[in-house]
Amino acid sequence: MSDAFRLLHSADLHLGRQFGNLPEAVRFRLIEARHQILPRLARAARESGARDILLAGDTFDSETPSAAVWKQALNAMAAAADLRWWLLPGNHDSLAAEPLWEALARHAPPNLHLVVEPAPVDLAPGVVLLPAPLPRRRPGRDLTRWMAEAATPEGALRLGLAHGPVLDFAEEGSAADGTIAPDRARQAGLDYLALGDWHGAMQIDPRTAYCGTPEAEGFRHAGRGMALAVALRPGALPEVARLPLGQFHWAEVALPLVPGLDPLAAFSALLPIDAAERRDHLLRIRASGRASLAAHQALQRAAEAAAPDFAHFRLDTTALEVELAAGDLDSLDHSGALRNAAEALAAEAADPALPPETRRIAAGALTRLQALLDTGA
Amino acid sequence: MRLRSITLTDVRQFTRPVRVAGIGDGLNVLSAPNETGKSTLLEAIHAVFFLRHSSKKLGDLRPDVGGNPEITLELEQNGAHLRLHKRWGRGAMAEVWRDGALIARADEAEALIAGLTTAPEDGGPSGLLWVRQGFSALDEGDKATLKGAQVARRDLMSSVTGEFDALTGGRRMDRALSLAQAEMDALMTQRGPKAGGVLEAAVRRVADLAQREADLDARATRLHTALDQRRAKRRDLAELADPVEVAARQSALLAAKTALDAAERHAGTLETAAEVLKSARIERDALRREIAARGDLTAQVAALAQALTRAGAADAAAQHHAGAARTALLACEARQATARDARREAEAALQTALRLAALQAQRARHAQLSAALIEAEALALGLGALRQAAANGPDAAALQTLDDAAREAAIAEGLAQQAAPRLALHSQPADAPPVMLDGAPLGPDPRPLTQAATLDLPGIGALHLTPGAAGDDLRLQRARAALHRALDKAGAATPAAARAAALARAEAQRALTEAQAALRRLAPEGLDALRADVARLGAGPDTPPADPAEAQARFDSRCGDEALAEADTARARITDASAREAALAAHLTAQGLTQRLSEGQDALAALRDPALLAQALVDVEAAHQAHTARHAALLAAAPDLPACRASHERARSASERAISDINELRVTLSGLDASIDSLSGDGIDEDLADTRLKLGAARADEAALRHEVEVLRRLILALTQARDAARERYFAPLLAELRPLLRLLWPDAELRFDGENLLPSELVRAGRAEAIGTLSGGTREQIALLVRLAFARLLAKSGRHVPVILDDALVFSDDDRIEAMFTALHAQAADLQILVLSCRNRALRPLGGRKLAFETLT
Repeated sequence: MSDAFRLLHSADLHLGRQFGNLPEAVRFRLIEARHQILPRLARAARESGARDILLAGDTFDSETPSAAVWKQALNAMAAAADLRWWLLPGNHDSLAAEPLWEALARHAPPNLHLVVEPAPVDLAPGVVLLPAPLPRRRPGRDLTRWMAEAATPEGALRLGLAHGPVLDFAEEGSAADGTIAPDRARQAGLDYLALGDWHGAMQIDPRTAYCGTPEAEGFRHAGRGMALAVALRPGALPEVARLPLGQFHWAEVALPLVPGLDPLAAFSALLPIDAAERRDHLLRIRASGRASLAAHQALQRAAEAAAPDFAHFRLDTTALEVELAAGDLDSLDHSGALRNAAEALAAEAADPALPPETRRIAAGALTRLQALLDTGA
Repeated sequence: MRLRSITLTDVRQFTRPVRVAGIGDGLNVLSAPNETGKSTLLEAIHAVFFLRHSSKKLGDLRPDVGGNPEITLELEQNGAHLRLHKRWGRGAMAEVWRDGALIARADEAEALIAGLTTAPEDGGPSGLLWVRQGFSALDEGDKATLKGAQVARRDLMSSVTGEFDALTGGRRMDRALSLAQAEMDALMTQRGPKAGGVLEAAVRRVADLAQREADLDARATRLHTALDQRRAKRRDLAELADPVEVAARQSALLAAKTALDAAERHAGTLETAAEVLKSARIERDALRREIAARGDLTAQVAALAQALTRAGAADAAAQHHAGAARTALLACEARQATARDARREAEAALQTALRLAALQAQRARHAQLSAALIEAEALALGLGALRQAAANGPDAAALQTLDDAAREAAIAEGLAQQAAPRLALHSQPADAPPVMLDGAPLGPDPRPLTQAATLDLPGIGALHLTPGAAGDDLRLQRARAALHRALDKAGAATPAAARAAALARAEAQRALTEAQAALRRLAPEGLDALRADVARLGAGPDTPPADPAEAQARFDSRCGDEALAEADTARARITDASAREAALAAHLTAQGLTQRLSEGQDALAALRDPALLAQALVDVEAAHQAHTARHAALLAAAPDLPACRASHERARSASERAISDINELRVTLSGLDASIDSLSGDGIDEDLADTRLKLGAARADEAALRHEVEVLRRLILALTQARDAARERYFAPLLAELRPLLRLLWPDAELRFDGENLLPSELVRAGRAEAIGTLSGGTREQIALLVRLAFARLLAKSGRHVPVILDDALVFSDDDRIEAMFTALHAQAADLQILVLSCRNRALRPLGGRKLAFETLT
């Protein structure tokens, strides 16, 4: 085979995820974006010259996806009739989900192949797929072990397809549940081992890779989702290219502040420059450190001003303490009851002998007082 | 400023000049009837300060009968004596004199006067401290007056403690509090999250989501449980329905059946052989029994014959014995009759002897009673004399009286003698004849003269001596008289005779008692009864002597004999009955034996010949042995039938069980399929994961809202506390002045003030706050006055002395409260000038103070 065998490596689509912890307005967009993954994968496969799309587990978010989810997924796969989809059971959609796999088996279009047996599959002439489907959510053993003993025709490309942790990801379950040997590709003489489970793209070794999820769904793996376009030639290392596919960009960033630092500048620097882009951004900023009352107010105002640009935006100031600047109390009042009240709150917020929650409440009361007085100004 | 005098001319009713002079520091009281012009006085003072001389609005100054009002006010200010003189109307003028010198006129005078104090509508202190009649309350008056008073209060307080708003935060504080409270109210009520509010919605959402999570979790658990069950059931079904397993079960069943059939056939053969053997045994045993029976029967017949012989002899003996017993019985009965007759005879003799003895006893008793009667009659005769003797002489009481009288007489005698003159004769010649006193020689021993006495002087004559009353002669006389009476009563001449008579009486009494006792002993029932007994008994016939004891002994002996005869007869009767019974039994036994012997002989004749029996027994024994051997061989070769049955049953049961299990599994799987299809079609796991995310977010929202509530609560508390502290500081000086005044009326009272209008809002007494508006008119009046006095003190302390003028300011107060108010006025008057105008002369009399009066000027 002189031409490379090309495939698209993807996993962890988690079709059916509902994003219940996010506001309604962005939830529906995220759900729809997940459904659009399949056409985008098909497009990416075609653009990269691949005819086969390997889905290394967790195609569905649960063992019992609704009929709408799996049927629409099948329809989308069927629509890309020029491509072949290879579906491996993961830990979220293991073979223990019998109704799902029975339904898939009954309704699968011709171009959808359910790899539910740990046995070699002829992917193409000279290309053999060695899958390690998960029989249940936590198999408790390395399901790729059999690959080393699997016999394939001489000179054929050996492709491994598995789902599970190589390292102690703590993504799901414990490290002892079915950890895959990190050098499985070498042990089993694989030309490429396509892994799923970790939602961020990660190259384990030249022949082993996690593709990540094609549409990001949490702040843990910042950025957009992607897939891997893999080109294989016998005896050569695989050529792996990352293809950004995700619609939404997720990011959680820290905003450490100290008095004297321009909070607004630091805040603005964390925002995407292109305002139009922000519509597909989910951004969470965790402010920490210390800031004056005015800085607190300014940050809140800036956050309120910036939030509508984003699909989802949140400024978390739980860890941002109040440090009173020289003129902070004067800005409330120079004397009198208002000043006295502010001083009492400030003292309480700074008293190390008090419980942290009490201090936090006092600091919150102080910043609220500032805001109320500014409202009347 | 201190007022000193005021002169009015052509002011209202004052057509002629009047002056109120001598207004001093401290408390001044102008008490006059109504319509005298007291209120006019206040208006006049007011006009001097605040009504320009050019003003045409004379109002209350306008004279009743025309004229041009003119007022002169003398006062002291900063050590200077000022005279303010104004006229309105025609010839309007204004002058200010200081220390007797004119220093300003017209507008200049007005400017000077205006500089002395600020108009009330501009916040001058007079608005606070000059109280018109009927406007004693702090919140009474026209709008301008009220506003001016408020300004005055505020200016005063500000000058003392600072601007109220500056201290309390003013509008900014109010706004911040209002906004914070509004935000709090949107979230919370007193009882918890506000219904329909954001927090309540968050709490409800958390609860709903938690419930939904629980429901979904339960459903998901049921689904996964069903999946696990179905997986297990399918596995079981696959095992059971495996063709190899099925064939194995069928083969095992067939083999077990074959073995069982063979074992059952063998068992049948063995049973038949056992039956044959049993028959042979039975036949053999029957022959043996027959032979044995014949032998037994023969022996039995022989025994019966012997027994019959013995029974015949016993029967004859029993009959003989019965006859003898009858004979003995008859003899005993005869003896018993004889004993009975003897006993009857002895009894009769005893009766006779007893009768004779009774007669003899009767005669003896009669003799005894007759003797007693004779003695008793003699005693009865003597009783009369004894009674007579026992009644003579003095009794013990009389004797005692006599003894007492005698003793008293003796004492009286003794005393009389002691007191009586005594006469003794000394140195009588030996041969001289004795001198006799009352016939007794008189010697050297003194002899008392208790009564007249005669002294015989031989050779001389008789000397009659009459001693007269000596000592207690009366007592002696009384004693003697009493003694005489006692002797008379005793019936004796002398006490000794009386004692002897008393002794004789006692003796007679004793004899009488003894006679009476003897009589009672002889005739306990009385003499008549004794006589009757004697007559009744009579002497009786003379009878021969009888010996009842001997007759009794003889009778007892006969009774014993009869008892013995009766006992013998009873024993004989029993013996007779026993003998007759024994005879009957022996006869019956003999008869029975005869019957049995006959039957035995008949049975023996019916049995077979012994030789034939022996031969038959030999043949049967041989057949039995042969059958026994065959049976033993069959038994040794027999298979274990129970084991074969158990194996067959096991195989059959396993096969049926497998079929049943397969059917049951199919049914169960069908049900599980339906359940799983139903549960899994709804996307439960998706829904559950989504719900959990929502629940987490909802809980975070609720926590954030609750944090918000805490922040607002803390803020509101901080602001409220700061504001209240500021208010306290603001009102502290005023309250310090007011507190001792309030305590004159109520021991623990406090006033709270409204921060806006600086008027009292609540009165706190005994820990209970009362709104000012709810208090009585009198209490409000008193509070108003005390507040004005407190303000006056504050003004004075800040260097601005303004007199307090009160025109009938205590109209609603009762007597007790008026006294307390007087005390307050006096307490304040030390530092102030107070002018009290009132028509209540009597009520104000205890007020004290300097008395003012209208003085009409010529």
